[in-house]
Amino acid sequence: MIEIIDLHKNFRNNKKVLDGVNLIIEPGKTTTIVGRSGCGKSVLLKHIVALLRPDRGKVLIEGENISEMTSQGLFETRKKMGLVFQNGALFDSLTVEENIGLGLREHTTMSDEEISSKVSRLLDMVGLPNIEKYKTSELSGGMRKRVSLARALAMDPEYVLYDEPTTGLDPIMSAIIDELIVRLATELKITSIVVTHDMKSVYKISDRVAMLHYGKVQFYGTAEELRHTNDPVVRQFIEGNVDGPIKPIHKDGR
Amino acid sequence: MGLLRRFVIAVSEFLLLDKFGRNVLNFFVGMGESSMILYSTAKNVRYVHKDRRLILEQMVIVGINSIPLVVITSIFTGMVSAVQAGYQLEDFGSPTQFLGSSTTRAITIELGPVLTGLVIAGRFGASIAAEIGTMRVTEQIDALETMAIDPIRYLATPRIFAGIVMMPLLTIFADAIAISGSMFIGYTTMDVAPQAFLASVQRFMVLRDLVSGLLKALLFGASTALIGCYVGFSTEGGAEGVGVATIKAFVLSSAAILVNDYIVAAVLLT
Repeated sequence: MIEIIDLHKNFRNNKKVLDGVNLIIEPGKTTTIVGRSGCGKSVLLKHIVALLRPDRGKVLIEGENISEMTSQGLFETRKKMGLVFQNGALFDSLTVEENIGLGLREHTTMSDEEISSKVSRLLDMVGLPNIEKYKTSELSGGMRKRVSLARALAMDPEYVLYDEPTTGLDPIMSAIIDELIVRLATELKITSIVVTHDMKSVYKISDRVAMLHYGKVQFYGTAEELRHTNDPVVRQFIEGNVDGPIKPIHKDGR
Repeated sequence: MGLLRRFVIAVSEFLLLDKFGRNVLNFFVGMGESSMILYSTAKNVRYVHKDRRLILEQMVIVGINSIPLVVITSIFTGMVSAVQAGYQLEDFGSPTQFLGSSTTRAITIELGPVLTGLVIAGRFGASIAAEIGTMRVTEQIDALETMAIDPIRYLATPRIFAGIVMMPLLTIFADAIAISGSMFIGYTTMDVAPQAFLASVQRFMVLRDLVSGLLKALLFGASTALIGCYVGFSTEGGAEGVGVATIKAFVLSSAAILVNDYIVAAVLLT
Protein backbone atom coordinates (compact mmCIF):
# COMPACT_ATOMS: atom_id res chain seq x y z
CA MET A 1 0.00 0.00 0.00
CA ILE A 2 1.10 3.57 -0.68
CA GLU A 3 0.11 6.29 1.80
CA ILE A 4 0.60 9.95 1.04
CA ILE A 5 0.42 11.99 4.23
CA ASP A 6 0.18 15.80 4.42
CA LEU A 7 2.47 16.28 1.42
CA HIS A 8 3.68 19.83 0.75
CA LYS A 9 5.86 21.03 -2.10
CA ASN A 10 6.81 24.55 -3.14
CA PHE A 11 8.86 25.43 -6.18
CA ARG A 12 10.81 28.55 -7.08
CA ASN A 13 9.26 31.90 -6.15
CA ASN A 14 7.33 30.06 -3.44
CA LYS A 15 4.94 28.61 -5.99
CA LYS A 16 2.83 26.22 -3.93
CA VAL A 17 2.19 23.04 -5.92
CA LEU A 18 1.20 20.52 -3.24
CA ASP A 19 -0.50 21.93 -0.17
CA GLY A 20 -1.18 19.06 2.18
CA VAL A 21 -2.12 16.12 -0.03
CA ASN A 22 -3.49 13.08 1.81
CA LEU A 23 -4.20 9.98 -0.24
CA ILE A 24 -4.18 6.21 0.13
CA ILE A 25 -3.41 4.03 -2.88
CA GLU A 26 -5.06 0.69 -2.25
CA PRO A 27 -3.15 -2.44 -3.26
CA GLY A 28 -4.27 -4.19 -6.44
CA LYS A 29 -6.48 -1.27 -7.46
CA THR A 30 -6.15 1.33 -10.19
CA THR A 31 -6.23 4.86 -8.80
CA THR A 32 -6.40 7.72 -11.27
CA ILE A 33 -5.33 11.21 -10.36
CA VAL A 34 -7.04 13.99 -12.29
CA GLY A 35 -6.93 17.75 -12.14
CA ARG A 36 -6.17 20.82 -14.19
CA SER A 37 -2.87 21.24 -15.99
CA GLY A 38 -0.21 22.38 -13.54
CA CYS A 39 -2.17 21.29 -10.45
CA GLY A 40 0.66 19.01 -9.31
CA LYS A 41 -0.37 15.57 -10.58
CA SER A 42 2.99 14.71 -12.11
CA VAL A 43 4.76 16.30 -9.14
CA LEU A 44 2.81 13.96 -6.86
CA LEU A 45 3.84 10.99 -9.03
CA LYS A 46 7.50 12.04 -8.81
CA HIS A 47 7.23 12.17 -5.01
CA ILE A 48 5.95 8.60 -4.96
CA VAL A 49 9.10 7.36 -6.73
CA ALA A 50 11.29 9.82 -4.78
CA LEU A 51 12.44 11.74 -7.84
CA LEU A 52 11.36 14.76 -5.79
CA ARG A 53 11.61 15.25 -2.04
CA PRO A 54 8.72 16.88 -0.16
CA ASP A 55 9.10 20.12 1.80
CA ARG A 56 6.81 18.60 4.44
CA GLY A 57 4.84 15.39 4.83
CA LYS A 58 5.72 11.89 3.72
CA VAL A 59 5.09 9.11 1.26
CA LEU A 60 4.95 5.67 2.85
CA ILE A 61 5.58 2.65 0.65
CA GLU A 62 4.55 -0.47 2.54
CA GLY A 63 4.89 1.54 5.74
CA GLU A 64 8.34 2.97 5.01
CA ASN A 65 8.98 6.65 4.38
CA ILE A 66 10.56 6.78 0.93
CA SER A 67 12.33 10.10 1.63
CA GLU A 68 14.16 8.63 4.60
CA MET A 69 15.35 5.43 2.95
CA THR A 70 19.05 4.77 2.43
CA SER A 71 20.13 4.78 -1.21
CA GLN A 72 20.21 0.96 -1.11
CA GLY A 73 16.71 0.82 0.38
CA LEU A 74 15.46 3.28 -2.22
CA PHE A 75 16.96 1.19 -5.04
CA GLU A 76 15.24 -1.93 -3.66
CA THR A 77 11.91 -0.11 -3.40
CA ARG A 78 12.23 1.29 -6.92
CA LYS A 79 12.76 -2.22 -8.26
CA LYS A 80 9.16 -2.90 -7.21
CA MET A 81 7.95 0.08 -9.23
CA GLY A 82 7.63 0.92 -12.90
CA LEU A 83 7.03 4.43 -14.19
CA VAL A 84 5.64 5.11 -17.65
CA PHE A 85 6.77 8.60 -18.55
CA GLN A 86 4.59 11.04 -20.47
CA ASN A 87 6.99 11.17 -23.41
CA GLY A 88 8.32 7.67 -22.95
CA ALA A 89 11.77 8.80 -21.73
CA LEU A 90 13.28 5.97 -23.78
CA PHE A 91 17.07 5.90 -24.00
CA ASP A 92 18.00 7.35 -27.40
CA SER A 93 21.26 5.50 -27.69
CA LEU A 94 19.70 2.06 -27.16
CA THR A 95 17.46 -0.14 -29.28
CA VAL A 96 13.96 -1.11 -28.17
CA GLU A 97 15.28 -4.45 -26.89
CA GLU A 98 18.10 -2.79 -24.95
CA ASN A 99 15.69 -0.26 -23.45
CA ILE A 100 13.32 -2.92 -22.17
CA GLY A 101 16.05 -5.32 -21.10
CA LEU A 102 18.22 -2.75 -19.30
CA GLY A 103 16.68 -3.30 -15.87
CA LEU A 104 16.95 -7.08 -16.26
CA ARG A 105 20.57 -6.81 -17.35
CA GLU A 106 21.39 -4.57 -14.40
CA HIS A 107 19.51 -6.31 -11.62
CA THR A 108 19.17 -9.98 -12.51
CA THR A 109 21.42 -12.87 -13.47
CA MET A 110 19.31 -13.72 -16.54
CA SER A 111 21.24 -14.78 -19.65
CA ASP A 112 21.05 -12.78 -22.90
CA GLU A 113 18.70 -15.40 -24.38
CA GLU A 114 16.37 -15.26 -21.37
CA ILE A 115 16.32 -11.46 -21.52
CA SER A 116 15.60 -11.50 -25.28
CA SER A 117 12.77 -13.93 -24.80
CA LYS A 118 11.25 -11.86 -21.96
CA VAL A 119 11.55 -8.68 -24.05
CA SER A 120 9.73 -10.41 -26.92
CA ARG A 121 6.95 -11.54 -24.55
CA LEU A 122 6.58 -8.00 -23.19
CA LEU A 123 6.47 -6.53 -26.70
CA ASP A 124 3.80 -9.06 -27.63
CA MET A 125 1.84 -8.07 -24.54
CA VAL A 126 1.84 -4.38 -25.53
CA GLY A 127 0.95 -5.29 -29.12
CA LEU A 128 4.29 -4.47 -30.74
CA PRO A 129 5.86 -7.75 -31.84
CA ASN A 130 9.12 -7.90 -33.80
CA ILE A 131 10.37 -4.36 -33.15
CA GLU A 132 13.25 -5.42 -30.88
CA LYS A 133 15.96 -4.05 -33.16
CA TYR A 134 14.27 -0.70 -33.86
CA LYS A 135 15.99 2.48 -32.72
CA THR A 136 13.74 4.59 -30.52
CA SER A 137 13.85 7.40 -33.12
CA GLU A 138 11.95 5.09 -35.49
CA LEU A 139 8.94 4.80 -33.17
CA SER A 140 5.69 6.79 -33.31
CA GLY A 141 4.24 8.47 -30.19
CA GLY A 142 1.93 5.54 -29.43
CA MET A 143 4.71 3.01 -29.94
CA ARG A 144 7.00 4.96 -27.61
CA LYS A 145 4.39 4.88 -24.85
CA ARG A 146 3.86 1.15 -25.27
CA VAL A 147 7.60 0.45 -25.31
CA SER A 148 7.89 2.59 -22.19
CA LEU A 149 5.12 0.50 -20.63
CA ALA A 150 6.92 -2.73 -21.61
CA ARG A 151 10.09 -1.34 -20.01
CA ALA A 152 8.19 -0.46 -16.84
CA LEU A 153 6.82 -4.02 -16.67
CA ALA A 154 10.14 -5.78 -17.29
CA MET A 155 11.04 -6.18 -13.62
CA ASP A 156 7.57 -7.55 -12.75
CA PRO A 157 6.73 -4.54 -10.59
CA GLU A 158 4.10 -4.48 -7.87
CA TYR A 159 3.28 -0.86 -8.66
CA VAL A 160 3.03 0.80 -12.08
CA LEU A 161 2.72 4.55 -12.33
CA TYR A 162 1.52 6.13 -15.56
CA ASP A 163 2.09 9.81 -16.36
CA GLU A 164 -0.59 10.83 -18.87
CA PRO A 165 -0.45 7.56 -20.82
CA THR A 166 -2.99 8.59 -23.46
CA THR A 167 -2.12 12.25 -23.98
CA GLY A 168 -1.40 13.03 -27.61
CA LEU A 169 -2.66 9.69 -28.90
CA ASP A 170 -5.54 9.07 -31.29
CA PRO A 171 -8.77 7.66 -29.76
CA ILE A 172 -8.08 4.11 -30.94
CA MET A 173 -4.55 4.09 -29.54
CA SER A 174 -5.88 5.60 -26.30
CA ALA A 175 -8.42 2.78 -26.04
CA ILE A 176 -5.65 0.19 -26.62
CA ILE A 177 -3.56 1.70 -23.81
CA ASP A 178 -6.62 1.82 -21.52
CA GLU A 179 -7.31 -1.85 -22.19
CA LEU A 180 -3.70 -2.70 -21.42
CA ILE A 181 -3.87 -0.88 -18.09
CA VAL A 182 -7.09 -2.72 -17.17
CA ARG A 183 -5.66 -6.07 -18.27
CA LEU A 184 -2.47 -5.59 -16.25
CA ALA A 185 -4.47 -4.67 -13.18
CA THR A 186 -6.86 -7.61 -13.45
CA GLU A 187 -4.47 -10.31 -14.71
CA LEU A 188 -1.28 -9.38 -12.87
CA LYS A 189 -2.92 -7.71 -9.83
CA ILE A 190 -0.64 -4.71 -10.27
CA THR A 191 -1.38 -1.61 -8.22
CA SER A 192 -1.66 1.21 -10.75
CA ILE A 193 -1.58 4.96 -10.35
CA VAL A 194 -2.59 6.83 -13.48
CA VAL A 195 -2.25 10.57 -13.93
CA THR A 196 -4.52 11.68 -16.73
CA HIS A 197 -6.72 14.42 -18.16
CA ASP A 198 -8.67 11.99 -20.27
CA MET A 199 -12.10 11.59 -18.60
CA LYS A 200 -13.05 8.76 -20.96
CA SER A 201 -10.03 6.81 -19.71
CA VAL A 202 -10.86 7.70 -16.11
CA TYR A 203 -14.27 6.02 -16.29
CA LYS A 204 -12.86 3.03 -18.12
CA ILE A 205 -9.85 2.15 -15.97
CA SER A 206 -10.40 3.52 -12.45
CA ASP A 207 -11.22 1.70 -9.26
CA ARG A 208 -10.63 4.96 -7.39
CA VAL A 209 -10.32 8.54 -8.58
CA ALA A 210 -8.61 11.43 -6.81
CA MET A 211 -8.95 14.98 -8.05
CA LEU A 212 -6.27 17.51 -7.13
CA HIS A 213 -7.25 21.15 -6.89
CA TYR A 214 -5.02 23.97 -5.62
CA GLY A 215 -2.59 21.44 -4.16
CA LYS A 216 -5.16 19.47 -2.16
CA VAL A 217 -7.33 16.43 -2.81
CA GLN A 218 -10.69 17.89 -3.79
CA PHE A 219 -12.38 14.56 -4.44
CA TYR A 220 -11.67 10.91 -3.70
CA GLY A 221 -14.05 8.09 -4.56
CA THR A 222 -15.03 5.55 -7.18
CA ALA A 223 -15.56 6.42 -10.85
CA GLU A 224 -19.30 6.04 -10.28
CA GLU A 225 -19.22 8.43 -7.33
CA LEU A 226 -17.28 10.88 -9.48
CA ARG A 227 -19.92 10.70 -12.18
CA HIS A 228 -22.67 11.59 -9.71
CA THR A 229 -20.89 14.05 -7.44
CA ASN A 230 -22.52 17.40 -6.70
CA ASP A 231 -19.26 19.16 -5.90
CA PRO A 232 -19.34 22.17 -8.27
CA VAL A 233 -15.54 22.20 -8.69
CA VAL A 234 -15.45 18.54 -9.69
CA ARG A 235 -18.53 18.88 -11.91
CA GLN A 236 -16.98 21.80 -13.78
CA PHE A 237 -13.79 19.80 -14.32
CA ILE A 238 -15.40 16.57 -15.50
CA GLU A 239 -17.86 18.39 -17.75
CA GLY A 240 -15.17 20.73 -19.06
CA ASN A 241 -17.20 23.91 -18.47
CA VAL A 242 -15.61 27.32 -18.84
CA ASP A 243 -17.91 28.89 -16.25
CA GLY A 244 -17.82 27.75 -12.65
CA PRO A 245 -15.78 27.96 -9.48
CA ILE A 246 -12.52 27.02 -11.26
CA LYS A 247 -11.07 30.20 -12.73
CA PRO A 248 -8.81 30.02 -15.78
CA ILE A 249 -5.79 31.35 -13.85
CA HIS A 250 -5.39 31.31 -10.08
CA LYS A 251 -4.18 34.44 -8.33
CA ASP A 252 -0.87 32.65 -7.51
CA GLY A 253 -0.31 32.05 -11.19
CA ARG A 254 -1.47 28.44 -10.93
CA MET B 1 22.48 17.83 -5.83
CA GLY B 2 19.22 19.78 -5.90
CA LEU B 3 19.41 20.24 -2.14
CA LEU B 4 22.75 22.05 -2.36
CA ARG B 5 21.42 24.27 -5.12
CA ARG B 6 18.35 25.17 -3.02
CA PHE B 7 20.61 25.84 -0.05
CA VAL B 8 22.60 28.32 -2.17
CA ILE B 9 19.45 30.12 -3.27
CA ALA B 10 18.26 30.34 0.35
CA VAL B 11 21.64 31.59 1.59
CA SER B 12 21.94 34.16 -1.22
CA GLU B 13 18.45 35.43 -0.48
CA PHE B 14 19.19 35.58 3.25
CA LEU B 15 22.48 37.45 2.75
CA LEU B 16 20.97 39.63 -0.01
CA LEU B 17 23.89 38.69 -2.26
CA ASP B 18 24.25 40.40 -5.62
CA LYS B 19 24.84 38.52 -8.87
CA PHE B 20 28.60 38.37 -8.33
CA GLY B 21 28.17 36.97 -4.83
CA ARG B 22 25.73 34.34 -6.06
CA ASN B 23 28.12 33.35 -8.84
CA VAL B 24 30.97 32.93 -6.34
CA LEU B 25 28.72 30.82 -4.11
CA ASN B 26 27.56 28.80 -7.12
CA PHE B 27 31.17 28.19 -8.11
CA PHE B 28 31.89 26.56 -4.75
CA VAL B 29 28.67 24.55 -4.95
CA GLY B 30 29.74 23.39 -8.43
CA MET B 31 33.10 22.32 -7.02
CA GLY B 32 31.31 20.46 -4.23
CA GLU B 33 28.92 18.70 -6.61
CA SER B 34 31.75 17.75 -8.99
CA SER B 35 33.68 16.35 -6.04
CA MET B 36 30.65 14.22 -5.16
CA ILE B 37 30.59 12.83 -8.72
CA LEU B 38 34.32 12.11 -8.49
CA TYR B 39 33.90 10.44 -5.09
CA SER B 40 31.07 8.25 -6.40
CA THR B 41 33.18 7.38 -9.44
CA ALA B 42 36.05 6.31 -7.19
CA LYS B 43 33.63 4.08 -5.25
CA ASN B 44 32.39 2.62 -8.54
CA VAL B 45 35.80 1.11 -9.30
CA ARG B 46 34.30 -2.16 -8.03
CA TYR B 47 31.89 -2.18 -10.99
CA VAL B 48 34.62 -1.90 -13.64
CA HIS B 49 34.23 -5.51 -14.70
CA LYS B 50 30.43 -5.32 -14.83
CA ASP B 51 30.53 -2.04 -16.79
CA ARG B 52 33.41 -3.00 -19.08
CA ARG B 53 31.21 -2.72 -22.19
CA LEU B 54 30.13 0.83 -21.27
CA ILE B 55 33.73 1.82 -20.50
CA LEU B 56 35.02 0.32 -23.76
CA GLU B 57 32.35 2.18 -25.74
CA GLN B 58 33.48 5.47 -24.21
CA MET B 59 37.15 4.60 -24.76
CA VAL B 60 36.41 4.14 -28.45
CA ILE B 61 34.58 7.48 -28.57
CA VAL B 62 37.28 9.46 -26.79
CA GLY B 63 40.25 7.54 -28.15
CA ILE B 64 39.80 5.87 -31.50
CA ASN B 65 37.32 8.38 -32.91
CA SER B 66 39.59 11.29 -31.96
CA ILE B 67 42.61 9.94 -33.82
CA PRO B 68 42.08 11.81 -37.15
CA LEU B 69 41.78 15.17 -35.39
CA VAL B 70 44.73 14.42 -33.11
CA VAL B 71 46.87 13.42 -36.11
CA ILE B 72 46.16 16.69 -37.92
CA THR B 73 46.74 18.80 -34.80
CA SER B 74 49.92 16.98 -33.80
CA ILE B 75 51.65 16.82 -37.16
CA PHE B 76 51.30 20.54 -37.74
CA THR B 77 52.24 21.30 -34.14
CA GLY B 78 55.43 19.28 -34.56
CA MET B 79 56.22 20.93 -37.89
CA VAL B 80 55.66 24.46 -36.66
CA SER B 81 57.68 23.84 -33.49
CA ALA B 82 60.62 22.72 -35.66
CA VAL B 83 60.32 25.86 -37.80
CA GLN B 84 60.14 28.05 -34.66
CA ALA B 85 63.04 26.24 -32.97
CA GLY B 86 65.18 26.43 -36.11
CA TYR B 87 64.49 30.16 -36.38
CA GLN B 88 65.51 30.79 -32.75
CA LEU B 89 68.50 28.42 -32.79
CA GLU B 90 70.00 30.31 -35.75
CA ASP B 91 71.24 32.89 -33.24
CA PHE B 92 73.21 30.18 -31.45
CA GLY B 93 74.82 28.65 -34.51
CA SER B 94 73.82 25.31 -35.95
CA PRO B 95 70.41 23.90 -34.99
CA THR B 96 71.75 20.34 -35.35
CA GLN B 97 72.71 19.94 -31.74
CA PHE B 98 69.59 21.31 -30.13
CA LEU B 99 66.72 20.94 -32.59
CA GLY B 100 65.70 17.44 -31.45
CA SER B 101 65.84 18.11 -27.73
CA SER B 102 64.18 21.55 -27.83
CA THR B 103 61.23 20.49 -29.97
CA THR B 104 60.78 17.10 -28.29
CA ARG B 105 60.86 18.55 -24.79
CA ALA B 106 58.39 21.28 -25.75
CA ILE B 107 56.12 18.67 -27.34
CA THR B 108 56.19 16.11 -24.52
CA ILE B 109 55.96 18.57 -21.65
CA GLU B 110 53.57 21.12 -23.08
CA LEU B 111 52.33 21.03 -26.65
CA GLY B 112 51.34 17.37 -26.88
CA PRO B 113 49.22 17.15 -23.72
CA VAL B 114 47.75 20.67 -23.88
CA LEU B 115 46.74 20.64 -27.55
CA THR B 116 45.43 17.07 -27.33
CA GLY B 117 43.57 18.12 -24.17
CA LEU B 118 41.96 21.06 -25.94
CA VAL B 119 40.95 18.86 -28.88
CA ILE B 120 39.40 16.35 -26.45
CA ALA B 121 37.68 19.15 -24.50
CA GLY B 122 36.00 20.21 -27.75
CA ARG B 123 35.12 16.73 -28.92
CA PHE B 124 34.58 14.62 -25.83
CA GLY B 125 33.78 17.13 -23.04
CA ALA B 126 31.21 19.02 -25.08
CA SER B 127 29.61 15.84 -26.40
CA ILE B 128 29.30 14.39 -22.87
CA ALA B 129 27.55 17.57 -21.71
CA ALA B 130 25.24 17.54 -24.75
CA GLU B 131 24.38 13.85 -24.36
CA ILE B 132 23.81 13.85 -20.59
CA GLY B 133 22.10 17.27 -20.80
CA THR B 134 19.66 15.93 -23.40
CA MET B 135 19.03 12.91 -21.20
CA ARG B 136 18.36 15.24 -18.27
CA VAL B 137 15.82 17.44 -20.09
CA THR B 138 14.03 14.48 -21.71
CA GLU B 139 13.63 12.66 -18.35
CA GLN B 140 15.93 9.80 -19.39
CA ILE B 141 17.99 10.31 -16.23
CA ASP B 142 14.78 10.20 -14.15
CA ALA B 143 13.96 6.97 -15.99
CA LEU B 144 17.34 5.50 -14.98
CA GLU B 145 16.70 6.44 -11.36
CA THR B 146 13.23 4.90 -11.32
CA MET B 147 14.78 1.73 -12.77
CA ALA B 148 17.07 1.67 -9.70
CA ILE B 149 20.12 2.40 -11.86
CA ASP B 150 22.53 4.96 -10.43
CA PRO B 151 23.03 7.57 -13.21
CA ILE B 152 26.50 8.43 -11.94
CA ARG B 153 27.58 4.79 -12.13
CA TYR B 154 25.92 4.22 -15.49
CA LEU B 155 26.77 7.51 -17.23
CA ALA B 156 29.57 9.38 -15.46
CA THR B 157 31.87 6.60 -14.30
CA PRO B 158 32.52 5.01 -17.74
CA ARG B 159 33.19 8.45 -19.25
CA ILE B 160 35.58 9.50 -16.48
CA PHE B 161 37.44 6.16 -16.60
CA ALA B 162 37.68 6.43 -20.39
CA GLY B 163 39.04 9.98 -20.11
CA ILE B 164 41.64 8.96 -17.53
CA VAL B 165 42.86 5.94 -19.53
CA MET B 166 42.67 7.30 -23.06
CA MET B 167 44.08 10.81 -22.63
CA PRO B 168 47.61 9.64 -21.71
CA LEU B 169 47.51 7.08 -24.56
CA LEU B 170 46.31 9.70 -27.02
CA THR B 171 49.01 12.05 -25.77
CA ILE B 172 51.75 9.45 -26.33
CA PHE B 173 50.36 8.96 -29.84
CA ALA B 174 50.16 12.74 -30.40
CA ASP B 175 53.73 13.20 -29.09
CA ALA B 176 55.00 10.54 -31.50
CA ILE B 177 53.26 12.14 -34.49
CA ALA B 178 54.40 15.64 -33.52
CA ILE B 179 58.01 14.54 -33.01
CA SER B 180 57.94 12.81 -36.40
CA GLY B 181 56.63 16.03 -37.98
CA SER B 182 59.36 17.99 -36.30
CA MET B 183 62.02 15.51 -37.43
CA PHE B 184 60.68 15.69 -40.99
CA ILE B 185 60.97 19.48 -41.10
CA GLY B 186 64.46 19.34 -39.52
CA TYR B 187 65.60 16.88 -42.17
CA THR B 188 63.98 18.55 -45.19
CA THR B 189 64.62 22.22 -44.43
CA MET B 190 67.56 22.36 -41.97
CA ASP B 191 69.63 19.36 -42.97
CA VAL B 192 69.32 17.85 -39.50
CA ALA B 193 69.59 14.11 -40.00
CA PRO B 194 67.16 11.91 -38.03
CA GLN B 195 70.13 10.31 -36.24
CA ALA B 196 71.37 13.73 -35.10
CA PHE B 197 67.82 14.70 -34.12
CA LEU B 198 67.40 11.56 -32.00
CA ALA B 199 70.90 11.87 -30.50
CA SER B 200 69.97 15.35 -29.33
CA VAL B 201 66.77 13.99 -27.78
CA GLN B 202 68.72 11.25 -26.02
CA ARG B 203 71.28 13.68 -24.69
CA PHE B 204 69.03 16.34 -23.22
CA MET B 205 65.66 14.79 -22.53
CA VAL B 206 64.91 13.41 -19.05
CA LEU B 207 62.24 11.00 -17.85
CA ARG B 208 60.62 13.77 -15.79
CA ASP B 209 59.65 15.55 -19.05
CA LEU B 210 57.63 12.58 -20.22
CA VAL B 211 56.14 11.88 -16.78
CA SER B 212 54.96 15.46 -16.32
CA GLY B 213 53.38 15.44 -19.79
CA LEU B 214 51.54 12.19 -19.11
CA LEU B 215 50.46 13.30 -15.66
CA LYS B 216 49.02 16.42 -17.24
CA ALA B 217 47.22 14.30 -19.83
CA LEU B 218 45.71 12.13 -17.11
CA LEU B 219 44.47 15.19 -15.22
CA PHE B 220 43.12 16.77 -18.42
CA GLY B 221 41.23 13.58 -19.28
CA ALA B 222 39.72 13.32 -15.80
CA SER B 223 38.80 17.01 -15.56
CA THR B 224 37.30 17.17 -19.07
CA ALA B 225 35.08 14.12 -18.50
CA LEU B 226 34.14 15.24 -14.99
CA ILE B 227 33.19 18.75 -16.12
CA GLY B 228 31.21 17.36 -19.07
CA CYS B 229 29.28 15.05 -16.73
CA TYR B 230 28.69 17.72 -14.08
CA VAL B 231 27.48 20.28 -16.61
CA GLY B 232 25.29 17.63 -18.29
CA PHE B 233 23.65 16.58 -15.02
CA SER B 234 23.01 20.23 -14.11
CA THR B 235 21.35 21.08 -17.43
CA GLU B 236 17.99 22.84 -17.18
CA GLY B 237 15.50 23.90 -19.82
CA GLY B 238 15.02 22.40 -23.26
CA ALA B 239 17.17 22.55 -26.37
CA GLU B 240 18.47 25.98 -25.37
CA GLY B 241 19.68 24.60 -22.03
CA VAL B 242 21.53 21.79 -23.82
CA GLY B 243 23.21 24.33 -26.14
CA VAL B 244 24.32 26.44 -23.17
CA ALA B 245 25.59 23.31 -21.38
CA THR B 246 27.67 22.28 -24.40
CA ILE B 247 29.41 25.65 -24.61
CA LYS B 248 29.84 25.80 -20.83
CA ALA B 249 31.46 22.35 -20.77
CA PHE B 250 33.98 23.32 -23.48
CA VAL B 251 34.85 26.66 -21.84
CA LEU B 252 35.23 25.17 -18.34
CA SER B 253 37.21 22.15 -19.58
CA SER B 254 39.59 24.39 -21.53
CA ALA B 255 40.07 26.64 -18.50
CA ALA B 256 40.65 23.59 -16.29
CA ILE B 257 43.29 22.32 -18.73
CA LEU B 258 45.23 25.57 -18.55
CA VAL B 259 44.98 25.76 -14.75
CA ASN B 260 46.04 22.10 -14.31
CA ASP B 261 48.84 22.68 -16.80
CA TYR B 262 50.27 25.44 -14.65
CA ILE B 263 49.84 23.50 -11.40
CA VAL B 264 51.66 20.40 -12.70
CA ALA B 265 54.41 22.50 -14.25
CA ALA B 266 54.85 24.47 -11.02
CA VAL B 267 54.96 21.32 -8.89
CA LEU B 268 57.10 19.07 -11.11
CA LEU B 269 59.32 21.40 -13.08
CA THR B 270 60.36 24.07 -10.59
